[in-house]
Amino acid sequence: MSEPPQPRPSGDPWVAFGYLVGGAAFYGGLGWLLDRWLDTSFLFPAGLLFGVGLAMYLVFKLYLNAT
Amino acid sequence: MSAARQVLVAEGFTPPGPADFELPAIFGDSLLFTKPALLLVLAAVMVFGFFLVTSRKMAMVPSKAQYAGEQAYSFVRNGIARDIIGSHDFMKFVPLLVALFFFILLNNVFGIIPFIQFPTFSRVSFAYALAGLIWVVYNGIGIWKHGLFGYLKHVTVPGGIRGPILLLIIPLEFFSTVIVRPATLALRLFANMFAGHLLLILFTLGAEYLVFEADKAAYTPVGVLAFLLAIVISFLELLVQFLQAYVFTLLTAMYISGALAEEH
Repeated sequence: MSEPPQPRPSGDPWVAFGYLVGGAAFYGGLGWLLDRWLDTSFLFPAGLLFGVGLAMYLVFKLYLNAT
Repeated sequence: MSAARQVLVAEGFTPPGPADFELPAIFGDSLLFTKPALLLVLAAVMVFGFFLVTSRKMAMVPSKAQYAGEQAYSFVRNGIARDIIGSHDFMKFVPLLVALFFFILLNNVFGIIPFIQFPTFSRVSFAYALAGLIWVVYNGIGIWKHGLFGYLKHVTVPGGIRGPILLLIIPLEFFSTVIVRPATLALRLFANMFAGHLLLILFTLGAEYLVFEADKAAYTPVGVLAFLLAIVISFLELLVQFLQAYVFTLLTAMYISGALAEEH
């Protein structure tokens, strides 16, 4: 490759925000649905925390890889 | 309700709110054609006209108009498209990005142009439609480049992560790229325009009320001050309007570049 180095494609600074919202929404939503199905009430907050935790793991992983 | 607000309400001042953004139909009762819709068309015609006029008589020694057009064009071409997408592929996307930037910029600046004074994208549906268009564009580019399954893998499997944790990450990654991304793109533009316009209405209506309608003479200087502040905020808004047009175009370029990338 003789081209000049191109900027990193994942330079979108909002990607971390997307992960956090996506994690909370997806796993929170999953927990909420399971709560309705199983008639419990702890899975919604558990899913929310799990989703945010996973998102943070992903953010750290990607940013540490990038540097 | 705070004490200050209670006083104002008691004296007959109606604070502006979201209802001020619901403008009546221009022709008859059809809500398909309202002021923001008219502004949208106006902006498209003006952007088209500007680039048509400035590029019609191309000369080696540019006229002032041609110079302005070229400066505007190369700002987006070099400053956004080439820097983000890279020198190999960027030319294909320059028309989209140039049109997008000036279209949004004009629609935003309408917010402080006297007698127009309404930023089109303070109505959220317009912002959703625009972000939807961009969503179709960058996903389309990704599918065209990698194939449907290749692209799905591309957006759902982040680089540098192996093992069973992928099972948990794939839905998250999919959710954040495919759903959250266009939503934040639209909401960022909408919320900035909405808040800015609301602030301007508040200061100008407040000034008008304090000067002309409040009975106490002591309110008049406060009203004048509020009016001066409205002018200052207009300049601040100009900055925000430019910045939001820039950010929207920049992120579009990043999403396109991400869809084109070989590896994460």
